[in-house]
Amino acid sequence: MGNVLVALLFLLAVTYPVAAIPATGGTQAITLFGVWAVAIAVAALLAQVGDDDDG
Amino acid sequence: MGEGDLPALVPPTVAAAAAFGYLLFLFAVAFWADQRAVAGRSVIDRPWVYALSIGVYCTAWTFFGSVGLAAKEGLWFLPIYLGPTLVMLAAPLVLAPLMQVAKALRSTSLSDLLSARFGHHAGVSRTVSLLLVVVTIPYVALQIKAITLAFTVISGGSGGERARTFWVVVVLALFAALFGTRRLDVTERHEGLVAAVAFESLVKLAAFLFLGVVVCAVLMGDQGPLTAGWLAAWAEVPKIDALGAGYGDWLAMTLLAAIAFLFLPRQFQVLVVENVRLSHLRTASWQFPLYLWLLNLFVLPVALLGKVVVGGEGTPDAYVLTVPLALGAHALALLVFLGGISAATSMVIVESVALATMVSNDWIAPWWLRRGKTLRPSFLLWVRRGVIVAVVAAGYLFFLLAGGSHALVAIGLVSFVGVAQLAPPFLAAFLWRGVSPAGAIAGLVAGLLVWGYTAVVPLLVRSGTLPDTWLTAGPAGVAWLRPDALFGLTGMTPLTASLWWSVLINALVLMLVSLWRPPDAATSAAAYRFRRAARRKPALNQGEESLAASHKAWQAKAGSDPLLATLERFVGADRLREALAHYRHERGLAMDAPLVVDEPFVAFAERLLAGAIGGVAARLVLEGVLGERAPAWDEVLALVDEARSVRARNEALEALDRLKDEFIAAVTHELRTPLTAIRTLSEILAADPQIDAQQRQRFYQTMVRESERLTRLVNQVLDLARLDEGRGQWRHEPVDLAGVVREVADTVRPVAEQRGGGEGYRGSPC
Repeated sequence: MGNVLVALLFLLAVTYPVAAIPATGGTQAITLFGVWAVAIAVAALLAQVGDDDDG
Repeated sequence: MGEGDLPALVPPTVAAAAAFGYLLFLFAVAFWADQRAVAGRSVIDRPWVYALSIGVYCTAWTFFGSVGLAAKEGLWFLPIYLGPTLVMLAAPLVLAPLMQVAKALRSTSLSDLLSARFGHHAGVSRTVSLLLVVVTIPYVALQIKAITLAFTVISGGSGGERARTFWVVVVLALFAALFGTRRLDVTERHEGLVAAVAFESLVKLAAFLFLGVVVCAVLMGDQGPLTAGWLAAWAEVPKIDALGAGYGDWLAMTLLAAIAFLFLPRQFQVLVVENVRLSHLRTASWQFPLYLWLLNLFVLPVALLGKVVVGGEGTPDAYVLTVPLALGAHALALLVFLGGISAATSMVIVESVALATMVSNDWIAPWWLRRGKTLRPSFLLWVRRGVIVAVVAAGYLFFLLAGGSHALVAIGLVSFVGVAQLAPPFLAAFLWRGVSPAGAIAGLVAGLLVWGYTAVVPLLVRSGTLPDTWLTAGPAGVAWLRPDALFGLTGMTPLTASLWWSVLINALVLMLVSLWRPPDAATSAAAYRFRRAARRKPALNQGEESLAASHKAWQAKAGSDPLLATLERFVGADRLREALAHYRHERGLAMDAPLVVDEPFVAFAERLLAGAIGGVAARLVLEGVLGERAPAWDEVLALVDEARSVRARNEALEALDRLKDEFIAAVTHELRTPLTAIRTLSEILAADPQIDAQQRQRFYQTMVRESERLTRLVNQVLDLARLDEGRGQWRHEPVDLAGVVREVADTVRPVAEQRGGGEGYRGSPC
């Protein structure tokens, strides 16, 4: 369920908040890459937890 | 300066030799991986290799087109990578069931997987493979265009572009055909291919990161007009909604990329078919998004620097090459060139191998077998090589017709919309029991036609192949039929509109035809197996997952030798030995135990064979080897009907048996009544000699009457037996009911009087 939640939040984050908060295309780019990096980090964490569960 | 005006900074012979040497090196990588696999040290059995192999998603489109698009439209290059990231983040929900069912059913292609949902329906698999071949052709054209562009730019090409493109196509086709089908054992997994693709992903990433680092170093080191120009360009990067297309289109593009990522043939090949362990998916769920993140990190900086140093004179699609060339970094330009070649060749190889597998398994092998011909593995390999060459040739034709004047991304997105046509049937396959093969086929055909009209026709118009009036006034002047504004729908980009109409009509046709022609019992049974397979992890000997379980094939009198010989021909001795060892282990058999051709073994053979030649052909081959045709489903259903009939007859016999018991009980009771009366009266007469003469006389008369009644009863039973045998005749005559009752009353009166209840009968007149 964790992965699905992350995916949904990611989809939401790369659409509307990114559109609403930054003022320029450049800041939109930085925000997008930031959101993307956070999603990857959380996914890595979830994968690690999953590995532990399996172990 | 345009790419045609660049000085020959890297001589054409050097560029060609570098590309050729690189391709040869790929052969070496594949050979090394294959050798390691033979030695039992698989290279691809590592999560990070799996994640890198998924990088085949990033083609020349990514390498050249993303920078080109970023230079023109800012962040709009990103949805294509956000979509796959979304899929990987949600892998346990989206990808895992797909992989589980594909592994359980040993599906080696998308067409095989979808047709398995409909009981290996040949029409479904053929439609899917045809659709995928057609929609992939623009994508192959994109790669051809990109490689030609790269050669032209890196060698400062002037003229001869047509000849250069032709030779690029020849080399690409030969390389893909030779590389993709190197080995004679046609199994479902290609160790060498995957290792080479993973290596190519590394080259792509390294080239792009080097380029990005150099660009950043230049910008930070230079305090003059270059940095100032770049900062000015950064400030002018358009917002996502600044170019007319809104966030709805942004979301649509993200979802389109997610769907295409799932259903592109090459993605299915590396994600599902080449996957060694399901657990690798968990690691890839973050490693592949990280790969995409890194690959895109410097896209915008490079694009902006390209605008500064190259400006509007060169095509933005070539900025990745023109920027290092303009900066004097020739070695870097050559590395980037090889990265671009990597991106294009890996796509063409894996895509064409996947398509060739589908075409040979779904079209040619079943057709060949139905003609009664023997299917030799070498023949199959040549067929696949032919299909690979044909796919590349078709891509070249498309490039000549429509690809020359379009940006790389525009061509790639057309293919994405085409691939998205698989979403409705696959979604229905997992979620809707009522979907039928006819519905799936009709939906796919409708979606393909709408895609061709709304996505391909505009490309052909803009390249001059079709007249402009198709887009300005509509075909034959009918405005609401304009391909880019079908039914007058405006307010979204033409591509989003194409996605909307094609998928909507596809889904509607699928539903309507499925309701009109619902699935039969065979399809429902296959659907049950399909959904059950999606819910649990696969094992090699899950007999119930195979349709062989419903066959009588396991009753074949043939021994295991012909079957093993056939398996060896198709999958190779090593693979067969390995699979048999696994099979014996799973079933708890000794390694030297003789193999019995029972149901699980046939199921095992069917899945193993399906891995090499597809489900439809595998069954045809098995039926031939086992020496008896497996019953068709209508025959199975006829057997079921017969069983039902026997059961009904059995129930009728049981009912008759119960009636017979009741009849005997009733007759016995009827016989006992007069016998009781006679016996009672006889006992009274015997016990009381002083009884008066009148009463004695009445007793005698009753006894005579009961004797006659007894005789009548016996006669009636005999009559009933005769009637039952059809020998008797009914005779209808009037009956004195009052007399009958009176007789009954007279019979029971003495007993009643003796027991003190003789006043019960009042002689009703009847």
